[in-house]
Amino acid sequence: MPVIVFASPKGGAGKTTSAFLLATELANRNMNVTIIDADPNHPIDNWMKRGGLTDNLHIMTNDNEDSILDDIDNAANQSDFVIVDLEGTANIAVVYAIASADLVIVPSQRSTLDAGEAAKAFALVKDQTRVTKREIPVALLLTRTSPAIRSKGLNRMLESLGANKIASFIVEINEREAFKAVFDHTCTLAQLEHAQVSGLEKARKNAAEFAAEAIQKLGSLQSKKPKKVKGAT
Amino acid sequence: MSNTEKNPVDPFAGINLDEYKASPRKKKTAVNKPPPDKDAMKAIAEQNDFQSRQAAPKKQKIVPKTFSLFQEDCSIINDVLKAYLENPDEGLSQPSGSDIVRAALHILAEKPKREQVALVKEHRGRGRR
Repeated sequence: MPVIVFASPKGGAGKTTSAFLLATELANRNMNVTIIDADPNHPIDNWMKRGGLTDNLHIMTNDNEDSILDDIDNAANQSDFVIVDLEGTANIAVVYAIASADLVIVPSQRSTLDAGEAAKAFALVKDQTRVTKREIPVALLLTRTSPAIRSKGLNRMLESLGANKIASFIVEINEREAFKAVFDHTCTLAQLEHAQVSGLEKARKNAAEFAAEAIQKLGSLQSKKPKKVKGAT
Repeated sequence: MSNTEKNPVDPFAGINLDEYKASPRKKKTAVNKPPPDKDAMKAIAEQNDFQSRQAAPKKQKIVPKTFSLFQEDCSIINDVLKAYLENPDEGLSQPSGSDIVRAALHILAEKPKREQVALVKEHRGRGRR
């Protein structure tokens, strides 16, 4: 079943939040989802250990780069979707997970530093395409953007992405209190109550739109025949 | 508040998630994934400055093989060295103790197997006889 990998060699780019939002959104829609929490801090596993629970969501941890491919394979055989949340460093587990991915999502904030690290992830996916001899779809996801203000810096970044033909999500993950509250209150967006956080509906809409776009990207790629790259046998 | 906000359109409208429902008999993946070539992946990773975070395997301690000699054995070596030094006509640089042991080993190698075993037994170290 489809494997969606969140990768960026930079910490704090929004990998865990966006992976969690996608996984819980799909689980809420009756999809059987496994998250592989390969961040050594195990933020999603800790969420579960602190009492986080929702139907259809399974959480696995991975601490060993040598077993990540097997873990992904096992999860893919048992789930409708596998979501992999990786450590925000340039490590080999990222490389292995990318090789198994049906879609790589590279979250990035609007900063030169984040964009530079995201570019590294894109370069790595491109190189892995050669090694795996298949096209690995990849798209940039802007995170923690302001829903109200569009800065000049963000506009410049978007123009640069377009100019460099970098595939990116139309939907951005906005900076929203509810996205932090799911970890504070150990629940999902669907389980949060209006009394606990403001702007909940907008956060839910944002998460649903992001998840829908991710599935659309996956769907459009699945309908295509696998494109073998040069050197494939 | 606009009408759309009151009755928001589901972003998943038009998406058939059932397509992704795992069937125990039918496994659906986006593409046919060839078996991973971990070595090639590692090489690419290192080119891109992606490093392993696994602890490097502990280096095995190398235990040097030593050969012990007794005083009487050392005396033989010293006597040979002495004899060599007393005979400057040889015109060669001073040999080492190892040269003498090597010479003795070559002599031993020329002996028949049975005699080799007998000699080893005869000169075995204390406590191993």
